Amino acid sequence: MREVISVNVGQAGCQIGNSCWELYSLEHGIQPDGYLKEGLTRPKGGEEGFSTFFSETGSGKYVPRALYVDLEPNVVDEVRTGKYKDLFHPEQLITGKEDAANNYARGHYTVGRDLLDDVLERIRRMADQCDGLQGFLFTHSLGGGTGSGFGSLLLEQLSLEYGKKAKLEFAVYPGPQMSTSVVEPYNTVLTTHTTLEHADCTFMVDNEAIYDICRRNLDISRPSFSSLNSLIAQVVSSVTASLRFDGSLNVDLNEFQTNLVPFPRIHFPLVGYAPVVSSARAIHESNSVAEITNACFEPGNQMVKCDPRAGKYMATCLLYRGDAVTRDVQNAVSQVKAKKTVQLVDWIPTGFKIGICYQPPTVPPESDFAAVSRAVCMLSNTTAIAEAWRRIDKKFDLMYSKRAFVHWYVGEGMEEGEFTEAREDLAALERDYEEVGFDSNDPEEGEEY
Amino acid sequence: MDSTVESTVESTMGRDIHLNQRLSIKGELCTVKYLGSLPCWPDDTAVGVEWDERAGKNDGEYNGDKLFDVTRRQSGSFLKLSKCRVDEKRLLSTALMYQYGDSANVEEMKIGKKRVEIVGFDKLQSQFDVLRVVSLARMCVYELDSAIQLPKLESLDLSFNLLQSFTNVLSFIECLPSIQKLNLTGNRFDDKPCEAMCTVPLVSLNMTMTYPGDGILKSVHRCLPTLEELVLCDNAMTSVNDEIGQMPLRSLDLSMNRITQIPSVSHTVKSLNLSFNEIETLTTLLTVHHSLQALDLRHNYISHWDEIDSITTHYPRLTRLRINNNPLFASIPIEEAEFEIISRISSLERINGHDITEKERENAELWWLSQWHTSHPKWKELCAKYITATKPSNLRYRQAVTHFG
Repeated sequence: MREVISVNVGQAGCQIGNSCWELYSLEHGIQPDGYLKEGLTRPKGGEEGFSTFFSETGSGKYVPRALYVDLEPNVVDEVRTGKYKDLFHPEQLITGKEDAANNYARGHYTVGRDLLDDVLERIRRMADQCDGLQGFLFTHSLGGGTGSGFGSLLLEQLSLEYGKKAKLEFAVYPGPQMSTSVVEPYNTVLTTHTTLEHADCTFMVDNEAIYDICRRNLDISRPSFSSLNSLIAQVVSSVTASLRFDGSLNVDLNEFQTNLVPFPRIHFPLVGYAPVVSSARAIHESNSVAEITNACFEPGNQMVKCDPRAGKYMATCLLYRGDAVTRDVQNAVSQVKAKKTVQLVDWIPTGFKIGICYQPPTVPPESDFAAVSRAVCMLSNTTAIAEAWRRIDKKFDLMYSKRAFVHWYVGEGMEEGEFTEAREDLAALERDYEEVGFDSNDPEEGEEY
Repeated sequence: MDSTVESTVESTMGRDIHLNQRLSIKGELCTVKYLGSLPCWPDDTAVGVEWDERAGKNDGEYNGDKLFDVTRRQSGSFLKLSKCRVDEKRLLSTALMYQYGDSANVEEMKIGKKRVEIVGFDKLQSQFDVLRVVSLARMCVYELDSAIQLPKLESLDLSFNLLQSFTNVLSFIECLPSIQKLNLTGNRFDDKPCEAMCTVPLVSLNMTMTYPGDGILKSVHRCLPTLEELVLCDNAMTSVNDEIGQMPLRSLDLSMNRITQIPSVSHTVKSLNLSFNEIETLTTLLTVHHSLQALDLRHNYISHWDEIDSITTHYPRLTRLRINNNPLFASIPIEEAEFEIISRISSLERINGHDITEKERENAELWWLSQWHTSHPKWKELCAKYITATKPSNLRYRQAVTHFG
């Protein structure tokens, strides 16, 4: 038994959680009421992998090992009344009464504190039901108040209580198209600083990148949050597929870290996913193994806006889903290699792992995605992702130089020192990325000076 | 010009080439359209081919003489038979063995100095009885034989191969008891219609770029009664014949054709894709289709708002519509266009790929009321809706009421 508890925090976290659990249910053959689809005697994908994400009750009902937390009730109420209301136990859905108002300080100090004990108690209860808890999977936004403030508070506490357990995050990085508040850069910098030493591995999804993919590849004129979330769900599902289905690469959460994280702070792998195609387009593109492999190395198919050609790769995992055979994969990799844009740092001896999960990707009915027989998800720790930090730091500096909006945070009991401290930490992170990009040996040594 | 057309010639590689044969040359598919001599190559036979996808040198002309016809401009080429490097064609079983047979000895791969580790792929290899999904795209398969049993196979992708006999396809899938999805994209069938009814539960068939003649479509109609999803994308069709129109499908994809009129389809069809066609008007449709829920009209020639109104009349249950990239919306912002559509079609739940929330619908309808479309039949209905609504603070609502009342 290797259970994983998913914790969805804040509006973005809960909504992404919805999309993900809908997809997981479909993939495993679970109906919205938690029972198996007709004709199935056991969930799809093998008992072993399946039980990491779902628990079974005495009556044969399957319940997600998930927790929804929000400081205000609106979003979680949609779960309570929505299509999947019977899938979850009411105890798994926790809401407060007062929202965080896009303010990290409210989520982290004032409003959030009141809810903390309740949430920790529920997590403890869920953890007690597990035979061998592997760790936690967090989903939250970096820009919102609850996601950033309460999310980081919860991570801190969990790392105190469950120090040895892995904590993976899916974090939504703010993008200008889907911006809900001006203080997103503040929240992002503050929460990144707080969680930097508590999260073991953070997969970032940049709203701007997702938005562009939806427009370009799915031909959606004005992508809404639900469009973005269903794409994010596909990506999250691909990353977690190896945990849920009997596969052989990254079968537990720790293995993600071992493969991808060379230093504790450098734990933000870039995620690429291909193919994302709408039904009309899929027919024309043959989506061979080589094509999708090449595509997931293209900046246009990556979940964070940055140019990996400008950076160096420290480690890369390719996770195939569906029908891919060794011969094709080998050809595909040699094509990637021939492109010369994939540069690996010289100080790690290995660094390129490829795995497969035979279950092809599932598309929800009536979705904009075309049903494809295979897909690939790339997870790579590249120095190029530092670009995302540089971008947000710049926005932070613009506002902070005038101390704009800082009073909202001070008013909730935060000290200005925390802003400076967080900003310095992020600057250090940028420098860390620069440093790991350097090669270890200097070939010109000793010639002249 | 004196050119003797032969029907079959022996190529230097020992393989015979005959007219209308499908070939793969360096991975590019083509059809043999001409065999004979050309004055410029006195010692050799010229093979005139029409390429499927890549550009050729001409339109089948040599020195102004038309030697064969092409359907796409600049897609013809003449090749020297002796230099013609034809890819080896395969039986299905050969292709299966090649792709899924005993795992090719995994040679070590390196990127820079680093070894590439490949984990867990062995499971797929050489266990044909457990395979559920098989893709053999671009494998030069010319004939389907049942030398290898595939009892669990659910989805088979045979796109871009050299299959020419639809009868062969139909008799082959009879040996696949679990088959549900079949992809035949890019093959060209040229045989006679087939009569035998298929007994396998095939649900989904993809016939993109197969340019099926009436005979083939007749076979599809007659032999595959369990079909629910049919894709006839990119087949240069100008209309939909009755056979296809009558098929009890759930979803029909006719995108990327040259259809000018909305076809009438069976009443079982819930989703109809007509994107990338040449449809100007919807008003020619006479019947009311009660079950259609999703309609895709992207990239057509719709240029009048009356057409949008007729969507409601013809498809009263329509909930999902995609209609961007039509001339009608060229000059107005997409937000405004969508507001207009949302207001005119009350049944819509999704427009151009995103959900319409209750709030958005209210917003759109109130905006539309403020545009004073007083002569539109919808105007009264919407006014009535917002008069009973309890939102007196809304300025636009007030405008509407003042005008209406």
